[in-house]
Amino acid sequence: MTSPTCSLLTPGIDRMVRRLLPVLAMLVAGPLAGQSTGGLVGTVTDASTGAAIVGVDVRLDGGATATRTDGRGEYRFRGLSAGRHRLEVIWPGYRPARRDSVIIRADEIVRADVRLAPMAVELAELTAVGVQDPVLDPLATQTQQRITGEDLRRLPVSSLEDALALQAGVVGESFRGGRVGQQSFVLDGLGVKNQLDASTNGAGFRIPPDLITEAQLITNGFSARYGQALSGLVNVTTRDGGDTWRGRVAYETDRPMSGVADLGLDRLVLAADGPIAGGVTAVGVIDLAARLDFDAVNAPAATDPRDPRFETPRPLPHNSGETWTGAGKLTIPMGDRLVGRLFGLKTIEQQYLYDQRYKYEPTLGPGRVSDGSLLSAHLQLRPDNGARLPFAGDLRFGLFTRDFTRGAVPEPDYAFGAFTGKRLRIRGEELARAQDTVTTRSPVDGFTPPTFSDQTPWGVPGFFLGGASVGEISWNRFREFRSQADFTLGLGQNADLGFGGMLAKQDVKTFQRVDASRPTGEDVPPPTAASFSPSITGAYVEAQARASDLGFTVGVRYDGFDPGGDLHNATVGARSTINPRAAVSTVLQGATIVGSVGRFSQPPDLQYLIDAAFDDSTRTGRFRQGNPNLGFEQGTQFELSARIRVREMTSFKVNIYTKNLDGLVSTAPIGVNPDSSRFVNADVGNVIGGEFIFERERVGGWGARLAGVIQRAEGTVTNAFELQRLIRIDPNTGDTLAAPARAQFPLDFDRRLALIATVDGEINPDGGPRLFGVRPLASVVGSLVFRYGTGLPFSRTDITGDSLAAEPNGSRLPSQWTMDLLLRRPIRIGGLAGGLYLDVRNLTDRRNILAVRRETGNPDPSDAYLAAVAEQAYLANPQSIPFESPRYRRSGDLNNDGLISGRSELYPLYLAAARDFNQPIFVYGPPRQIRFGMELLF
Amino acid sequence: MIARPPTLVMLLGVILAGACSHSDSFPTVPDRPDGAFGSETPTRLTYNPGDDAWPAISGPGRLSYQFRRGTPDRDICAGVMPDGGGPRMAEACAWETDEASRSDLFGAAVLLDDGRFLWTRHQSGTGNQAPQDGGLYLGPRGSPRTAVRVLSLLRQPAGASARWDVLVDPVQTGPDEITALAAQWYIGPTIKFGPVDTIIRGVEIARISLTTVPATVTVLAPAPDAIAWARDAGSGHLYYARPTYVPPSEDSLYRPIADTVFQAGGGGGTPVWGRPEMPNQVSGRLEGLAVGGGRVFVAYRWAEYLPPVPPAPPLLQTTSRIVEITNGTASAPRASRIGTTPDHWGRLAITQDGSALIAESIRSTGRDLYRIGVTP
Repeated sequence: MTSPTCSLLTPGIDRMVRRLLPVLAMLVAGPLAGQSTGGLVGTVTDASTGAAIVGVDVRLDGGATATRTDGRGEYRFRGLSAGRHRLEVIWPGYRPARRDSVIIRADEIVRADVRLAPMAVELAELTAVGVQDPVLDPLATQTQQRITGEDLRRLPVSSLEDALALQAGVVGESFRGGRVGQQSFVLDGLGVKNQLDASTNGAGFRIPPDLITEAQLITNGFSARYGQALSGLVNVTTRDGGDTWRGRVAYETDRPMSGVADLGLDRLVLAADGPIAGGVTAVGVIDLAARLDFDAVNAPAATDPRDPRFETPRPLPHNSGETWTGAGKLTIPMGDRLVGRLFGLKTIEQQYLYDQRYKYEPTLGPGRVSDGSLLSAHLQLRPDNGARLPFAGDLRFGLFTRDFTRGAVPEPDYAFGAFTGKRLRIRGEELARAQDTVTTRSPVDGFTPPTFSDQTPWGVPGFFLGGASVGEISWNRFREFRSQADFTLGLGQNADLGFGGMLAKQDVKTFQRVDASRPTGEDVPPPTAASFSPSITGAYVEAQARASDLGFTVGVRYDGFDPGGDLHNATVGARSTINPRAAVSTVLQGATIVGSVGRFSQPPDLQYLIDAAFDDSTRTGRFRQGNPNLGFEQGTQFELSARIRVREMTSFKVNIYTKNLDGLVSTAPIGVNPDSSRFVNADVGNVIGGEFIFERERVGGWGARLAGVIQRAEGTVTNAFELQRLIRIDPNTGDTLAAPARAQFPLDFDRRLALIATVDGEINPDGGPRLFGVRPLASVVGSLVFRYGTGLPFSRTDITGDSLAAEPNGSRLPSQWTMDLLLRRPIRIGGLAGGLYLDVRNLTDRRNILAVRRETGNPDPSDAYLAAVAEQAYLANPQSIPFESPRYRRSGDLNNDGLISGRSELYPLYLAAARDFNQPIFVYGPPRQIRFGMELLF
Repeated sequence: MIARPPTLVMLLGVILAGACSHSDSFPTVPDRPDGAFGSETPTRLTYNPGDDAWPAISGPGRLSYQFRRGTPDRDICAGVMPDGGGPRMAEACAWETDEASRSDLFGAAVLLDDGRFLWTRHQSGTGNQAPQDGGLYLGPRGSPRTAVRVLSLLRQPAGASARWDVLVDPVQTGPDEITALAAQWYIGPTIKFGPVDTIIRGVEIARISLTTVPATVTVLAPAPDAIAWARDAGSGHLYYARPTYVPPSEDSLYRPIADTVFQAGGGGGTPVWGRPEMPNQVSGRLEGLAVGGGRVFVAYRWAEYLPPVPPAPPLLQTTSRIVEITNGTASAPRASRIGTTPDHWGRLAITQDGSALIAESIRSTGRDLYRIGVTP
């Protein structure tokens, strides 16, 4: 195995690199093969003389793919699917050299040098093939964090999202301090994004972990091939069906627990793959999960014994959720170089949402249903690796649909655990789907104005509602048909040229009505509906060249966005932007250094283009105007990174980056009326920071990883819905008026320091004590994850909430930490292998504070606030409560005369109700969650 | 090392041990009493500062009544409470945000066996006692505002010769059926070629079927001038009480001089008992009628002047009694009031097992409901 060092660089190149590195940063462009494929390069030499051998046959996977070494003894494979491959070099006069499991990773080029031993020389066959250290390989230009299928099994995670959250620079769905929605998914090379409302409602689909070969999180940059993202790219490669049928059945639950530890979890996974006929393979996964306490929180129990949360803090009523995911894939060989793939994925997520207002009458509360589906077809032309100018291509077509409904739903009718077995019916959904803005001006059938509940422990008519429903009907549907073509042309052994483009035709329909029990007009905004057909386009060209240990990538991307002609007030038609990207990498003193720079653009969430009626926590006004003239949100990123092999099994990676954001969507008031506002591209910000990852590879039964981030993320506003205080819209001209100075404040996800430590290990098959003839700890695999993060920012206000008491996001939450544990024990049932596992999240039951009241700076309201709202409620309903009234509470009848009357008896009840209503719940993180799992492999 | 089956079974057992069901979310446990407030006899059932009146047992254990909330528009609400006392199981009051601009009278509340809630509503302008609109409504117990009008009152259907105006003392007599005392009116000339007025056609005991909208009303028996009715669930016999007024030509006052309880039937029914005329009475009235378990109870009162003690003016004494009628004869009073205030017992209802009466207690300070045990 050769070990390239900087001594191999020529002095001229060395000087050039040293000059370039300070100005190049960030953005590591990927190899030119398809996003779900990688490459393999190497040199074949004579083991006895070290001379290159020319024209040697190099075969992969038994000859399915083959090439020959060139005049310098070098070979190269392009377009290899991610996963394990068998490398074989056979040449007359030499012992055959084989390596059975060369791991090819998507978007990465692996080096495997081969030394062939002459027949007369005794050399161990196993040393005949050496694989390049990926840490130091200068051709692995991407700085990215990988999650393999094995990681998903070995770590205490249940989903790809859980695993992503363990990566450096991730806070929830925010990547490197950016806003939610500034990331994009790439699924088997096809870009998929919920362009309508990714910033508030996520991707809209879930990829079952059992389908994943590996996922990459790229927080620093990505190839010019991809757009629609500013802060991160999640690149997922799904597996193809295997040569033989195999499968997995798994069930996990927390049923053996009781009380507050029983959160009502049930999860069932069925996965199978194998050959069908004629080389066609299939893979299918069904992943069903449900939980009674969907948003379980570690909030303290209530302090008043009359409050039901005093005895049973959780689960909360009307707070369940279920996720049904099904996916399938067919892989169809179509000759030597052509492969077709058909893929389908459907995710239905539905939730009953706990609403504190309906705590005591959860018979009709808010709920939501998200239905996302993706159908795609992929035609792949593999390169002829033996050709002088190998050419590879990928044609992809995808139909992505996401349908979202939110509104009132009745009490759940559970069939098994938290599974209902049927789709939630949102009240008024039919009117919403018909986008009926005429009928819905009147009160909508089935909606009635709520009254004060008489089911509370306090009895008094205040705070808690019942007898009716929330009055919201919200529906939207985003549909996109995307076609994408990517081509790679190999220019000799050391250069590639990639080019391609994409076109996505979208269709958006929305409907929104609030206060549906009341007619519109006066203080009830009119129903809103939108129907329009935007389109986005993209084209790129990118070149990658290598000279010895120096690698260059240069590319440029064109992005276009046209909201279509169906929107009112649209005066700007199609808009476009050019985004150049470049990277350079080399090896210096045992470290690989990568510098990159790039400009990125994403069209704004389509939800910002249309009007909206609001009556929820995200509102900045009861009615907000959309802005169809919004332009691209943009960012420019620089990064310098280094990868160092510290010892044989340990490596250290460090990235230093700065990212300038511009034109982010924010909300600006129209005139001086804060209840009426408009979206504008007015936010600017900056993220600067550094990441490090120290890793001990999984060898000798254990591995470890420590990742840390230090960063600062600031902007003029923290999210798109927050009023941009420094910008105002002139109501007459529509001009945007900016204040002279544009001060920046911490962004919502500005976590200054984060640490994530992971340790995993395996007890050997003969390890552990023997009990009753069995070693219960033998072969147990365990992993422990520790996470620490300093507090996120928040804004202090006065007691009314109307006025800021300090700078926006000028205060900090307490720091957070958690510890998760997974133990897995292999078992065998009859002829089937399997396993039992114990998955514990938040092992120490740490009570993390995720939010605080803005006026107090802690989760609890002040006594003054409670007294004020109790007094207000009492004055609104001071009437006495007789014994026979459902509101009568014996404990409130202090003089025991059968009548709760007067301030002395009524006010304490109002105060208790106020304390109950304002008790903090969702400001706390999840509690300890213990789940037991069992799986069978066949 | 692979675990042997016994270990596996043991581990699976641990997992499946709790696999019956998940823990429930927290129960609602309001600090509400489930019986009467006090233990005195008779037992006071209502403590509302406003009036509580018109008791009726509309179903097993379900006491329907009307109550005033004390709002300025003098609204009357309808409610259903346990016949042994406790919190109301259902209630209907005006809910509109501008409802204070009208007066609302809710009544005839029935909490049906299947949980649906039935009630009548009459509306008038504030201070205007003549209602302009009315209806019989059926809906869910917890949300009166979602109820549907199943029968219009005060409106004469096209082609009909009369209209239904009032339903009183309803009782559920079938899955989708109630029986009540109903008054039928029509609009016509008071005299030939005279002005048009609203004229009562009659009072009947009627069955209202709720299987259709509008509900269908079937007259079971006439009950002319009835003020109360009762049904003996055991025998199916219907009873009603009516006053007899002084003929206009004999007295300038239009007042009852006698009251009679009838068993309903052809020709106005069969008299069961007549309120006795007291020697010195200056007024008297049959107040309530209740029949259950084969037993008939009435409440009545009379007023008479006490012998004067000069120079004080003569005092008017009111005597009120609740008695059981057996073979046309009144028993000794089950409850009585006597005094110089007009306090007295009013309308009656009887629990389905016949063990207790629910009686209106009418005092100068207001009306309340009491439960009086009448175990034989």
